[in-house]
Amino acid sequence: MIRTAVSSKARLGRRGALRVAGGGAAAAVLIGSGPARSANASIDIVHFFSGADHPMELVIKAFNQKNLGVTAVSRQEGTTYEAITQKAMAGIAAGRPPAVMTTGWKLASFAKHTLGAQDIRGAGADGNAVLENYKPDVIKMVTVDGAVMGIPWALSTPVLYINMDHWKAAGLDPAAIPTTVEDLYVKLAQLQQKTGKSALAYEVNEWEPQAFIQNAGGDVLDSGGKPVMDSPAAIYGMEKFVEAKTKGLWKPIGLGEMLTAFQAGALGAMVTSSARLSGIKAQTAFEIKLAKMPGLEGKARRMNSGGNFLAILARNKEQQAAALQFLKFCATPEAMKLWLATGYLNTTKHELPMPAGQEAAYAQLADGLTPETVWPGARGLEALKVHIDWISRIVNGSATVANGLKGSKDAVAKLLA
Amino acid sequence: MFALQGRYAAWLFIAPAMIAVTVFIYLPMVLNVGVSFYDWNVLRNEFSWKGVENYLSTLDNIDFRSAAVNTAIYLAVLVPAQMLIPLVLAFLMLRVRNRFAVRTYRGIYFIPTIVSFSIAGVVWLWMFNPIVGFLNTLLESMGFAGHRWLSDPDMALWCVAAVSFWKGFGLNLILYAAALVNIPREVIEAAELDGAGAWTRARRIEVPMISPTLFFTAVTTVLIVMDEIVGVVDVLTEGGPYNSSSNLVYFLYERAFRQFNFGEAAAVATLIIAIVAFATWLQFRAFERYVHYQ
Amino acid sequence: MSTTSRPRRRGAPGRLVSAGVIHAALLVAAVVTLFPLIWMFTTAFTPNELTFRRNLGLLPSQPTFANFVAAFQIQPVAHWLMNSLIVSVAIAAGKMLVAIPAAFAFAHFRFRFRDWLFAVIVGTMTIPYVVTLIPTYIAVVKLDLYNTLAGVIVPSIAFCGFAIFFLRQSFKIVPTELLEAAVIDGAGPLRALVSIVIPNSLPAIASLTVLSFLSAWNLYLWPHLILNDSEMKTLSIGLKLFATNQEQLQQWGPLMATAVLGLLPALTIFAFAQRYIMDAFVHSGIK
Repeated sequence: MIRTAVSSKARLGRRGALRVAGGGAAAAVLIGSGPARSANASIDIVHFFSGADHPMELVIKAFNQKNLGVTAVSRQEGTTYEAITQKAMAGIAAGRPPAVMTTGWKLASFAKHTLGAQDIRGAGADGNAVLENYKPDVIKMVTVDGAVMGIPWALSTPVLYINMDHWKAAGLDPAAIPTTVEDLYVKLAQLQQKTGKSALAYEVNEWEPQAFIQNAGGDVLDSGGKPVMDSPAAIYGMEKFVEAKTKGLWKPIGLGEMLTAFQAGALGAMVTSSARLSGIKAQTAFEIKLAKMPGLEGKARRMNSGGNFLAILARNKEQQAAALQFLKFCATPEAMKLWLATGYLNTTKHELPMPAGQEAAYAQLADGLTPETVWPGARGLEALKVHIDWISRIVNGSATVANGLKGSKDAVAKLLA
Repeated sequence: MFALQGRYAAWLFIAPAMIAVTVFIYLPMVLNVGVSFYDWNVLRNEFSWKGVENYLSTLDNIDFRSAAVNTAIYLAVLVPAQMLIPLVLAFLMLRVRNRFAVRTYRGIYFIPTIVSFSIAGVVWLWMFNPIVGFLNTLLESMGFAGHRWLSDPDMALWCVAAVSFWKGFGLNLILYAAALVNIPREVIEAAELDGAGAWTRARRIEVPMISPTLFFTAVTTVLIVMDEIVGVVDVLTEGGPYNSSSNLVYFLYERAFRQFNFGEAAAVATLIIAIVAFATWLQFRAFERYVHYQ
Repeated sequence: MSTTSRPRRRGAPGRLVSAGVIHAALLVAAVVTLFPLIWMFTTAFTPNELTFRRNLGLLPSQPTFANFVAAFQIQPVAHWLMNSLIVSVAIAAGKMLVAIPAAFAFAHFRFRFRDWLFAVIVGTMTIPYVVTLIPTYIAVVKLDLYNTLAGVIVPSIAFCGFAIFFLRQSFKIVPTELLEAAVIDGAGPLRALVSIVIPNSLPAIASLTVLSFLSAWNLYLWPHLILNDSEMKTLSIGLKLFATNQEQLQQWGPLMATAVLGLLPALTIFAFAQRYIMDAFVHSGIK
């Protein structure tokens, strides 16, 4: 053990030595081996997917087994895009940015301007070839100001999860799943009345209201990045969102609480990311059905998406080339097949089997999805938080829909100016 | 008084401590004021001058203002609560004759103090869970309506305050209990001979006698409520819904590490120094007249 | 709130307050204080599926260790425990190394600026640590100590104002005759410290070491900022990761099992040291 520590010190310098002296040594003692290192280029892959058998780990492992002269090291951090962004910034400030980072789509502009994410096409000769594997629509989602900020990796979309046991118990027809919110609210009212269960839960964030705003014909930010979430169409969409609460069908709770509630069988339905299906199924015994997110009566659906892309933050050529090797592997059917087990959607052109139960999400993808809102400028992240806070005020009844959206628009406009 | 001589010994003995507090507390405190006038561009690793702009935009920010108001509420509620309730419990314990019982009570009350903020946080997260949590299960089984607790903007702050109280009252209790035990018996007995009842004795003799401890806890409790509540806030509510349970320290954390605006965060830190310095000064003034040193 | 049981003082004093009422009040306060932790233990030993059923029973109907096994599989809990141990031992030891000589000097030496310097050190107790956060964070990042345990440990040692204050009080109690005798025997200051002061103040030093260990074990914000890799985290901040990981969904059983693992070491140490800690407070004369 001591020998490992000493030799690591020689190779890794101060940081390595301290890591080994600290957690590294502890880890090595506990799991019986030191961190494996080879003479190859080693790249850090920063992500927030935890668990040794998570598809992210499986993809990294499969890549390393190819022995391409590059060793990918999985670095799982935190649970939020902010947490991994903080890590990346610390790395950049210390002159050692992580080679590859999963970046939320909403942070694309921040990744480009503040983190210095590289245009994939400029990262090496293979850049364009890697991008060839993806659907052109999806490439558009990761293009910021003309630069392709990474490969579209995790794509998901909000869908309706229904507890079919309650649905049937309420005497509702399993074949007639509502396609409009208006119809949904009527049926869920029946469910709530018949079963005594809470009817519905939405996530209180920027994402699900965006779906309502867009399905009503509005937008959160326009194509020029200007806030327009207080348009009459947006207000109409948001009214429909909050209607679930005013009709007594929805008691707004936190995301974790909502998932617990659904898993506990205390909810008739919820709207959340299609990527959560496998996790939820693994822990529940009742029948779950995923349906397309219902639209608004008489309006054209325009559903949104979310998730993350793999960005290259490496500054030097060697690391960039090594990072590109990894992205190249991620674009292969082999890697994508492993990855789809998460419940994220297939962003590539490859024909791959659809995971069971994901029909609704794939249908929604086939209809065409808009990207997650990219919050531009140096204060984009602040603008995002301000917007979410106004959504929360509206949902909790401390602002009317019109006033809240106006409040958000004014605050966001100030920050993006 | 006997005092050791030794030319440089004393200086050598205090050197590590002096260096540590200078390098890691006073210097950063001064640097913080410096940083508050700059903007740190991480990518280019440059600091660019912003002047008082960070302060102006902070003071202009409604989230800052609600964090400041919440901080005032936390202080106004928690500082008296964390002093009065433990004081009452300490007085009650004083009247328990059984030493084993006293020790057991003391031990139990102190336990939340050694529970980390995150453990306290997840334990209460579980208690507050609106669907399967203990509190709502209990309420609903008794026929009352459950609450949304942490998701309810009117309740989140009070939930955080309650957990902070649970976590913090034991420390003050131990200090009060120790101080009360230390009051010389003769003083109490003399008062008893004068026919003073428990209430009069407490008011006239015991409380004044432990006033130095009360002063000490007043100062430390303000710091604890300012600083350490951030752990509870982070695990329970992350400041939400819409900043309704945030405080200044959590606001600072979000500015720096969620939105990466280090300059503004440093400005917030400077304002916190000013607030705490003012509160401490007030306490010195308030206690000056009453603190009774033996 | 459920946490605040308020044993009310009678309008007219102690005569009326019978011992029974006092015990009842103290007992209610004790139950309310302990209950959330008991509930945590209950959940930790309840099969995870059953945590989604409403239940008010204090004893798990089908007690199991499965959550503990699962916790280690879901998150690197073993690393977290080890990191917590390293960080806490290092900080406690570091604080003692810095505080003991300083407290000795302030208690038994006469030198210029002594009281002034003492005020400088004790004054740190009135400074909220967040005001040092940003410059220290930037320094740690620039020195490449980000995501290292050293980055957590070193700056934390500096918060030793309370330790010095507390130890100075206890060192003062050491009879001066003992010190005088040692000096007459030709002992230097260091030997006087090691052979007279420390052995005569062991309970105080022990209880302060335990308190420093516990406060380091529970450190939240600073490690949260500095440690990022999941294997580098301490238990205290790992729990937050565990609690908010929506990828893994809601695993209350394993989460509470991890919380139990985080609490047990602190509880054990406290159980052993409780007497010393309480006695030390009684004798410290904090005023």
